[in-house]
Amino acid sequence: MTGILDTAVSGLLTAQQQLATTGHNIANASTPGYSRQRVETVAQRPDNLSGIGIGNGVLVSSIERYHDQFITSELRHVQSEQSRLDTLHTLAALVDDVLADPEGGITPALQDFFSAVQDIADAPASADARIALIYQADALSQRFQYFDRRFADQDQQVSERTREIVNDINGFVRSIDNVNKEIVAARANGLKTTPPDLLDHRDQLLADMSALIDIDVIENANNTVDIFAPQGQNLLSQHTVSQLRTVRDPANPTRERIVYDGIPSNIDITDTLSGGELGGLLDFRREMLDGVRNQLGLVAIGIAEAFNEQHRQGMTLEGQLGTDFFQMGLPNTTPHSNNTGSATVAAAITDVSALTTQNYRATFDGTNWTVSSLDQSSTVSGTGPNLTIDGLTIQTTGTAAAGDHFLIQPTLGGAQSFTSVISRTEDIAAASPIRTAAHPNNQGNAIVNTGAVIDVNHPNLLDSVQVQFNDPATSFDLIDPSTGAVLLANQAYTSNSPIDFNGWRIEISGTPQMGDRFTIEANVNGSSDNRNMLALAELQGRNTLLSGTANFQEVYSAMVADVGSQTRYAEINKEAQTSLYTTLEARRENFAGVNLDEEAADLLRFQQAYEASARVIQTANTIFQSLLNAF
Amino acid sequence: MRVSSSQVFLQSLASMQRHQVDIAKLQNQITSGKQHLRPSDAPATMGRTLNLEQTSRQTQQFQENITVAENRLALEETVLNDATLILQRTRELAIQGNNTALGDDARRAIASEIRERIGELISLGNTVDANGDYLFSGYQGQQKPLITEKFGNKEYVRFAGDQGVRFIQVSESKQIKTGDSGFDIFFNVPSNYAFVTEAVISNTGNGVISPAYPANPDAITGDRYRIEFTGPSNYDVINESTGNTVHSDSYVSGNTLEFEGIETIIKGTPVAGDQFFVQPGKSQSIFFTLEKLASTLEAPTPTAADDTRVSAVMGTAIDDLGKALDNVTEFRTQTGARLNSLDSQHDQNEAYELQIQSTLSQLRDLDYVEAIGQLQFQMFALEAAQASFARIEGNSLFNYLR
Repeated sequence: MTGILDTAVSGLLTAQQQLATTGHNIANASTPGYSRQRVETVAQRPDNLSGIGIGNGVLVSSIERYHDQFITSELRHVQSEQSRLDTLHTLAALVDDVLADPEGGITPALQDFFSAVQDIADAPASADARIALIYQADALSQRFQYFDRRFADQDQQVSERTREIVNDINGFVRSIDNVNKEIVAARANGLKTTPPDLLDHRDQLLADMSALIDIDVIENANNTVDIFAPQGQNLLSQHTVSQLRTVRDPANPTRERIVYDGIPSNIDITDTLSGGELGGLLDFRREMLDGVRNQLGLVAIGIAEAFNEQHRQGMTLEGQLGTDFFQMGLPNTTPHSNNTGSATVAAAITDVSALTTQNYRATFDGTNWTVSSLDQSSTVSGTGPNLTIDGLTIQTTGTAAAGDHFLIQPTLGGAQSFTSVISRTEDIAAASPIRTAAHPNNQGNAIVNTGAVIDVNHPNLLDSVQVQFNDPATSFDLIDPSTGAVLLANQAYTSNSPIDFNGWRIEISGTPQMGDRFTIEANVNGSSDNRNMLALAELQGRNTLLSGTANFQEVYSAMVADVGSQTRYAEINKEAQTSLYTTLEARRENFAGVNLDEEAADLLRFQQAYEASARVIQTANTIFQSLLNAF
Repeated sequence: MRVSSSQVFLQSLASMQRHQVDIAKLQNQITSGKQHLRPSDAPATMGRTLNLEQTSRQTQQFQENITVAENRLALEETVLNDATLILQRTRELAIQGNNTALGDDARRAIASEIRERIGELISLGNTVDANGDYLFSGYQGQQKPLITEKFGNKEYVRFAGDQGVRFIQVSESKQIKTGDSGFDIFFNVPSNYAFVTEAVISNTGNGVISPAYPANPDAITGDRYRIEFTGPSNYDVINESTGNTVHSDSYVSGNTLEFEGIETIIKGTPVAGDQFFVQPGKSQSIFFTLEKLASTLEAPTPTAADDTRVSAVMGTAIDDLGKALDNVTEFRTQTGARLNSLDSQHDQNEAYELQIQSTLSQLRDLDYVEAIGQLQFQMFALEAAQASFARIEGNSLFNYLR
């Protein structure tokens, strides 16, 4: 008799638990990472009554979650890569956006600047045109600085975010360790199976952590997990937590390195990290941001150097030789903080056309210095003190210890330092420093060209000199016209061949007569002369950069196209990886996620089971009453 | 096969968001009229677009340069045209004056009109451009190019500018001269009767010698002469070819020296040993030719010998005037040729610019028909996604559990 009641009660209780679990599933239908649960039941052992085993009802054996270990582990790696590519694309798209506005780019500023140069060539003495050039030079340099500042800000943000992520990773490791402990405690408290919600919670923590960095997870026999960084560094092992931390990069104080503090401790793992947002940040900086800043710097240095050089070959309104027009960025050199020697290294740009967008490292091995670009595409070594590589002259002074090294960034600061230093309209050197003239008394038909400056630093450049033809007029003397003193005697005359003297070069052509004279003199008051402005304007189209293959605009355009294609590439990769991730996630969800219709059906099913069990109790009661009534 | 409810929800949501992203991008393209909104949309095209934009802006700048050059050359052409008229008029006057039948008064009247014309020509030579710079002073825009200098009772025009000539960039590879030096137009004029005069560098006095001209063309030898001061107020004239002293006199500043048919003037304070040279030259200034004409016509001709001499001088001057006219006309023709060349360069630049713009438009501009078609399709797809979402999400077994 009691058998029936017990059986019914066990059904009742089981149905209650099943209803509760269904309710739990419905409640968590939208909880991320939740795996639907089911009540596992077994029939109770039958009583051995009169030799026949009569069933004894139902027993809840455990509550299990629907879970596929393979998908979960695969999903972690896929998510890690997806997160890396997403980060890379998001950051690249920011650079892409900065360069997207055609009105706000370098191109119009560069064009406005060179138009202003041409306007002075059109009207060399015009104060308005000169003011416009000073203004446009300022606008151009500000544009470069603005762009560089945006990129520098991004660099800063990468650093900040890197530090945050390293903290977050440590936080995740601690949280997962705590869940491990709870699982062990639950088992110690006599639970036969690990509560599924704890496992879900831990899986979710591991998934979130994978979005930051690629990890390997190994599950132990006691249901705890160990976590490994990509190169096998143990982050969590049976309650031993190892932390990561960021330290200032000893080779470059503006950067940070990521250090592993487990066993062994203090291991730099920056270069072996992969995947996740952290991997994306490091990739973005290495593959895009550094290159863009260097390219921008190269354009700025190119403009400054070419313009300065030509401007110095001109003459100002006040009859002075032109000075530098722009301040030019100098290469950064940074000693490694572990250097033990006392040597210092300085780098100077000696040939802008040979300059690359690479950074370099100078290393001393005890005898020789080796300078190589960080991508190893070019390298040079020698005992010093001077080494030349890619348009740079690297000068080492002092005593270096073996193993000392220095970081050299030739163009990084180029855009930031690019400023216009001419502020007075009179200081714009539109004229050429010398002018030539045929003497009015000349008898022959020879003519002289306008002349060119070949060495602006020659101390006698601005002295007046007269070419005077001898008898016969197949040779000439160079004389000082104010004293008649002969400076250079008996030079053979060839029509159209260059005559170099005092840092200038002229060409005389035709047939001179004895006594014919040509003067070369300082272009004093040459306010209508635009020769230097024409030469400056010509720089716009001249291929002064990248071994004479590109002009300023072309280097900039290539940089924009480069950013565009890298962003595009990152986007395509991200989309492919996202679609892989989505497919896997859908597979996991379709297996482990909650379907509300299914739960609704279960609700009906278990409710009916409950009602049926209740009816069994009622039946037992009726039987019992019948029995009682018999007496 | 089963699906999770949240998966269905998230998938529908994601597809709606994708449609919305596409629609936002299309809308952005349509409002901006641009095919590519950022470098990553079409990296190679974007780079090429930037390069072409530079070329286009450069071409526009060349067109501006051409306008400036045209203004300068048009001004020069006007000035040279006026100068031609003046020279033609003075030649008529000279021919009219070269008539022994005319009396001194009539000749002086002609001379005075010639002097009038000289003044006009000087002011033409000192023309200032729109920027306030002298047109013919070479590089020294603020330096008045034509300056008159008194020698005794004569006034000679001196060139104070330089021989610099300004060019302007009118295309990537072409520069065009936008002017000429006054030296070449007015001073360096070929002449068969020219003399050059010069003080020796080593002179210690401050004596200055004027240009020289044949006062009596029949007496000209073609030799080189040295005027040597034997004291502050005495000089000898030595024919360097023969070594003979051909003339000696006492010196008075500003007085005319005449020897073997040549006239010149020395002024200032020379000292003993100072030397000046006079020798035949190749060229002569227009102003000197005109001055020679005027002063010859002004001088009285009491004797028949004077008439013969004056007639010979007038003959050389009229000849020189013809050469001056040729010279100015030559420069005027060159100026016109440059203007033509600017014109055709302007057309070439315009055609080039048009070509760049059409390439740019192909690279950069949006195909509206296609974009609007796409927008309509995307909107339709979004609406379909929204409608199906509402239907699917509203459909649940719970609705039937009552």
